[in-house]
Amino acid sequence: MAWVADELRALRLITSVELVDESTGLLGRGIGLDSMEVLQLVVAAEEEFDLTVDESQLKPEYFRTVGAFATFLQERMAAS
Amino acid sequence: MTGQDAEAEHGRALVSRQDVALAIWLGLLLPLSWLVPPRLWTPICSAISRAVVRLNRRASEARVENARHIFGDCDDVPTPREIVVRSSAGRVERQLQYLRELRPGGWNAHIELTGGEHIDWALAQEAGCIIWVGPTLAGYLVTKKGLYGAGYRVTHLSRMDHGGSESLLGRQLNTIRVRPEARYLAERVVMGDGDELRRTRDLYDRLRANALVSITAVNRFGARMVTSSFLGGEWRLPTGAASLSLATGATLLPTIAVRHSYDHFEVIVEPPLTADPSSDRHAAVDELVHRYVKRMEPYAAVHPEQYDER
Repeated sequence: MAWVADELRALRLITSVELVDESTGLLGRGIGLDSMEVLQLVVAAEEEFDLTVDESQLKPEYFRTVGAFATFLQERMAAS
Repeated sequence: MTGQDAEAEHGRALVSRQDVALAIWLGLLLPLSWLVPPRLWTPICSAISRAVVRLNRRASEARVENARHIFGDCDDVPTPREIVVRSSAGRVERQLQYLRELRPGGWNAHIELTGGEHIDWALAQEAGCIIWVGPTLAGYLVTKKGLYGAGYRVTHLSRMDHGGSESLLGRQLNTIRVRPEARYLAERVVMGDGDELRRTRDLYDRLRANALVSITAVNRFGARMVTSSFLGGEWRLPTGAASLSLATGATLLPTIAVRHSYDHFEVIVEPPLTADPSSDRHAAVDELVHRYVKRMEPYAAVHPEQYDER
């Protein structure tokens, strides 16, 4: 969760990590990421955690909230 | 075909009334496009357009009102009704161009490229280049032909349905647009429902490899949209091209295709758009969209009948 918040700040999508918690939405009326920004987050996670993510396997619910994306990453790391 | 694709295919309608109407319409235009010389198209298209606008009064009135809203304050433009008539004529002429492309020898016109030095400069930066094409009637086929003729090989972002019907017949009719355009492209990256991320990754990878990518500024699709004031009205645009540019560092070039006559067109590449790199990401994206719309305004004001409003 902390990494996701840090990365959102690094991408200048939020101004401070204090502004997000696990329930903060990533899409729509939350932070409002577009598909390019979602992809950047995925690419950054791949590089940071040495993962390979197949975009066709990604579901919108993984990006519903910051917490959901963090959980998705944890599951991917456990599986790899 | 994956299980998901097969399911989608199964659920798709075979044909819609709109497809049948379009198929009949194109069937009528085909002999015109193949047998009548293009220099005679303009008066014929104008006559067809006046008849269609008169017959289809209800839909036409909405378009006239929209034209009045957008262009009402512009100097030296035709009346809103005349803009709609000329715009409809331009659409028919565009269909003739596509159909003529299917004839041996194709459709030939003089297409000049202005501002190609901006593309050369962008590619020399080795961070990719995005051609952000304005929605004029000539913005689709003519832009691709013009860039190809000048030696540029473009990867184009397209929708599966090309903005038309998604029925099986609709997709067949869609090939009338796709086939001629494909001749002038290095590659089409086709975005369908549910694979936006995969196709976004494709574009991301192409730009990182210093490709030239074209994206048309249409107001229908996008996870995030920004509304800008546009002449007397508003223009709501997806943020994709601007966001892709900021993510990859690719140069973003507003581009517009203008019709001067039935056989003379100009593809104009404007200088790069930039945003303050230190600003909040979404503010920077919004700023790029607003600046893009401002660059498009003068062309729409001078050629209102060529602006492909929807």
